Amino acid sequence: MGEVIVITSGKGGVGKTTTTANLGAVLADMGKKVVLVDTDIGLRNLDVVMGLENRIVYDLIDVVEGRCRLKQALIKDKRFDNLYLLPANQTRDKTAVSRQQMIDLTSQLKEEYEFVLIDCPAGIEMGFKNAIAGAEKALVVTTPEVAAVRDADRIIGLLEAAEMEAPRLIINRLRPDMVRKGNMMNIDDMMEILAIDLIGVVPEDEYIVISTNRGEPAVLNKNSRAGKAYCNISRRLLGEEIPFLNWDQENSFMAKLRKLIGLG
Amino acid sequence: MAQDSITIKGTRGGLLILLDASKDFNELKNNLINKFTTAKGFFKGAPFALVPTSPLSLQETAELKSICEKHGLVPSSNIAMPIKRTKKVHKIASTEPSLAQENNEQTLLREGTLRNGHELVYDGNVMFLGDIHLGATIKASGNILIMGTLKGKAHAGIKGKKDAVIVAYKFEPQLISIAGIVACSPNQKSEPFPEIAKLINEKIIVEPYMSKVSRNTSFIYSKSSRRIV
Repeated sequence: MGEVIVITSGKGGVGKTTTTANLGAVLADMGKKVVLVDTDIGLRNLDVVMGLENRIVYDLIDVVEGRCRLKQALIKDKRFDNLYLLPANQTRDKTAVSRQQMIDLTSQLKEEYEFVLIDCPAGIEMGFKNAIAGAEKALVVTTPEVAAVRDADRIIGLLEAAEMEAPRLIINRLRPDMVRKGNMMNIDDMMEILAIDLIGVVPEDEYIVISTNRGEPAVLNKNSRAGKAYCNISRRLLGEEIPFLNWDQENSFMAKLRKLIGLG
Repeated sequence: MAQDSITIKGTRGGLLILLDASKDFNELKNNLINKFTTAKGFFKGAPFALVPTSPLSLQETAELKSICEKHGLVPSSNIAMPIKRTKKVHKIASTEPSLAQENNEQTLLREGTLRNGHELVYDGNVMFLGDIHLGATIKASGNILIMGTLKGKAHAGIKGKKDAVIVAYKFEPQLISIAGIVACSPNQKSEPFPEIAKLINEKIIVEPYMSKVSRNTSFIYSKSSRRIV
């Protein structure tokens, strides 16, 4: 029996889809059987980020409305043997699926897959309610912005009201240089505001833009800082104890050089 | 029991002889003599102070004092009272809004975190063990006591109870109201001690919160510690 994990945030554009794609890729790379479910019906993106857009024949709505078998709608990833995607429908909207249908779907999926990662749409309406319906665990993604943190707080409250296991926090797009100068909220600030457990911090990384445009997860690039962070988060999901990287330390070449000649 | 009209309390500073002034004076006198004779010089040399529940006449006080002195006790005016149950405290309680109202309102005890967008409404008092986040609202017809940080909104006395209060461990609300009178946050960091908001002359006043009991004991502490030093 697998785990159903929903990746949610409240606010849009904070990196739910990127996080889903990358965590799925790492878990599959570690040999776990993973399926990613895009519940953003009408505004599907996960397939684009995964580079699987052109292979969609059937989608989530076709499955719940019985036009195809679940197996037929699942798209196998090109790069990872254990990674599958259940894409969202693009012509309908969030009301096309009900909570009960989502519960049935996820319980069917978790029988075969070790991880069912649900990419939640932004907002707190029907789409959100459907996405969390069948989930047992939740990861809340936020960026170090006041609005995103406020929305994350709202979402955590709704998850708690839905009696979900205590959600864990992913801080995305952190810029250590800005934090050092005091121009960006730091990790402790956000932890204090949200009062939930942290599962990982993903630094701002240009490579994310490149990788999403190419349709391949950032974790494929071993030099990507964000990719490394996603690896750590995945391992923490599996229960490993991975120490958090110290973002306060400058790791650039210049910083090392300054340290070497005694100026740092 | 007749002896109940007199209680002798030993404190660091000496003996406190608590007298129930509602009893007959002769009874008090006899009881006092009885106590000392049964103790057989046990109290000899101890400093003492008489503490009647209501003031006695000068003559009565002098009479009781002389009995004590006859049994070897030394008068002292410098003995602190450990628990004050005098009229003065009662007066404070009746003029100031107090949490321990003699109302019959229900109190809701809730534990957890009230997050952005959530609202807790209750007809009665609310005691909340946890934080009230920005964007969360707590409404009560009675008092609100928050054992945590208040960052959101708190409305006490929503049915018009003007002596309702709002207390929080850390008090940094967005907005508060008592009996419909609203105050906005001055946007400053909270003080490192609990604070209380109450209505005085139709204005919301926020001040450091100290319960009556702790106010009293701190007074005694300082007094007795001064004595030690």
